[in-house]
Amino acid sequence: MEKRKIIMDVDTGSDDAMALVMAMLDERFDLLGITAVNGNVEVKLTTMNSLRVVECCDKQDEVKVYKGCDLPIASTLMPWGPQATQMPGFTNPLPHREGTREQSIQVHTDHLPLPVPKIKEEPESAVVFLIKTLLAAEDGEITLVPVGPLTNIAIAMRADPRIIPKIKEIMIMGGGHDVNNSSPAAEFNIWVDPEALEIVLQSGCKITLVPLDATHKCFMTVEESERIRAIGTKPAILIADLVKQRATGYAQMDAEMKALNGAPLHDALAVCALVIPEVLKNVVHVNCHVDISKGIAYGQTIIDQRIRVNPTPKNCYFAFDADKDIFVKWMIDVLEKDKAKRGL
Amino acid sequence: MDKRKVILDVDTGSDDAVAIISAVLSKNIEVLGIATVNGNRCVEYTTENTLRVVEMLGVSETVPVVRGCAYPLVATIKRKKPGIPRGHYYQHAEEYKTSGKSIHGDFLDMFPPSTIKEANLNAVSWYIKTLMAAEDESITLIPVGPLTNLAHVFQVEPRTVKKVKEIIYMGGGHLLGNTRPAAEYNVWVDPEAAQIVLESGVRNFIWVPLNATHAAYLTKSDAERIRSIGTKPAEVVAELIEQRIIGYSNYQKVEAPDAAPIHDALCIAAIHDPSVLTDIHHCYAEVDCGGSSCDGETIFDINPGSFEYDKKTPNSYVALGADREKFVNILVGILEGAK
Repeated sequence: MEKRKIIMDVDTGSDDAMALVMAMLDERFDLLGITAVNGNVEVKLTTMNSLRVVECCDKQDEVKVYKGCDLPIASTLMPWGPQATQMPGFTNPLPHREGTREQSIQVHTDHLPLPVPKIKEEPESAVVFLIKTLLAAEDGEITLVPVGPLTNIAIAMRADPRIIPKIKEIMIMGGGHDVNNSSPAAEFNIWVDPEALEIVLQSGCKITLVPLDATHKCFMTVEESERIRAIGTKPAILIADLVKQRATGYAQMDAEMKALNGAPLHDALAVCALVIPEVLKNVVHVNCHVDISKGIAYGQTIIDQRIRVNPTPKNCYFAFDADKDIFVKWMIDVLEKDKAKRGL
Repeated sequence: MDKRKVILDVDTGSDDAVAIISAVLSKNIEVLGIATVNGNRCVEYTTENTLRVVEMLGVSETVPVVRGCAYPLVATIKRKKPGIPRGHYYQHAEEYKTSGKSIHGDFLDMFPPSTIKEANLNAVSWYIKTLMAAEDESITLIPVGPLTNLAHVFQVEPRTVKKVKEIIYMGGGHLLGNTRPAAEYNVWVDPEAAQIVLESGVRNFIWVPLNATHAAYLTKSDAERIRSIGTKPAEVVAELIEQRIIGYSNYQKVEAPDAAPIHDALCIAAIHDPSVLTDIHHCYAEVDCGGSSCDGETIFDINPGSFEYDKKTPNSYVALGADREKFVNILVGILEGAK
């Protein structure tokens, strides 16, 4: 079977780390590169953390990491806006510079619990790499998997629109309809760079949004993660450690997750959906736009659900639900298979 | 003297054409390349117009033209600035074409369609490649359209910032606008880009706003003096000035009769002789990106208040005046020198 060519765009990040592990170890993927972006932590750290994960999976000879944009397109330009002033849990505005993260909530940390990487990122910047790689590809050849703010992808499309037909589809972790986290209206990845998603949504590419509505259905409990830990490989232990870290973080802010002793693993679900589409449930073809008006709803993904004679044109697939059992089984299967392949 | 290494960023544009001609013909300037951008017209048109000028000058072998961004950072997704990008569907296109009174026109009709092509590399990637290969503080950037390309360059590869010696930017106005009461066109098209470039940490950012370019207007007799030089480029410059005088007489009268500003070319003149710019203030500047009536307004804090908390570190230089006689003499000098 022909492998699916993907580029991961990440803000690593604990759930990004798991998404990267799965993208590197699931043999159905041909991972062409990892582009890091500002998000959960500043880009210097998301780049470094991505390198850590590559080393953890022993993929340093095959997979290269590129450093992307340090700032969102425009959200931090508004000096009085929340992106540029404060955010609950942070003592400093975006970008989350090293050391500014409140230490009591540890869904993400500045540094992943892995050794300082020996390898370095490539000298080329992420956007230049994206443009070069896509322009050299056939039409519809490459799938993009952005699981952080969409800054790199949006700027690449603006700098060279000839890349757009090269993209097979874009599987995005981001947004929320009934579930949000960074503001009453917005999910973090989109809240960081609302304009970037709006640019991508207007590109005409085939786009699927894997929002919080779906990822919160796909949580993993600490108990389940112990089964993954038992596999015993470095990547499996990393995932188990990160699930535990996330569960501890979520327990401080989410009563439901506290009771379950678990946490959603957002970004990994987008990777799963590429090889097992049925993990996403209630996927609806919708008209979706992002609020960029800089008010209370800045960064909200708005789904047009009005019943109209002339409906607004549909521009993306939106997953309202997901199947937790398929998701957990996929992670275990891939990690088991990787273990067998290494002859352990 | 070493030639100043310059990259032009243009939305050609009648005044852009004069800037390109004077930069390429100047003995003090080495033009490393010309990036195009959406602005006076959509980027397809500004690229074609730029190619026409470069072909007329016969420098297509040495001066690459690279195509830049088709859309401003956020203005078009906000849907608050209808008519951008300005293409053939521009609402006044027919009226402009038939009456011959436009300031820019869709195409520079005095040239035949170009037979050369732009480079294959896009402008943002080209800028990054060129700047990363350069010495620190060795390149002068002269953007005379919306700052979209450069904003993306600095966002994508911040290491390019220290390669820049200076940015001489035609844009903005101090309490003076053209496309809107509060805003000058280049900045109004992409205010976010202007703010990003201004705050990039670039060493010398020099604003050449409407206050300066309006002071440096050219007249019909200036056009005649330039035409009498007798070369093809001089003839073209004279014709462009006359076309702008007609356009300005119809839409935007300047202080002298039968005169028009040639905004973008003033930046090139400033490289030859910095004293062509006058009334220069080293001050804190900011671009309004609020999206309302003052979107794209440039605020120059040239008289900071007495409140300490109001005082901000100067981040740029702004020229509020210009010496029009010097400007004409510099233009004539460049065109004569190339004869």
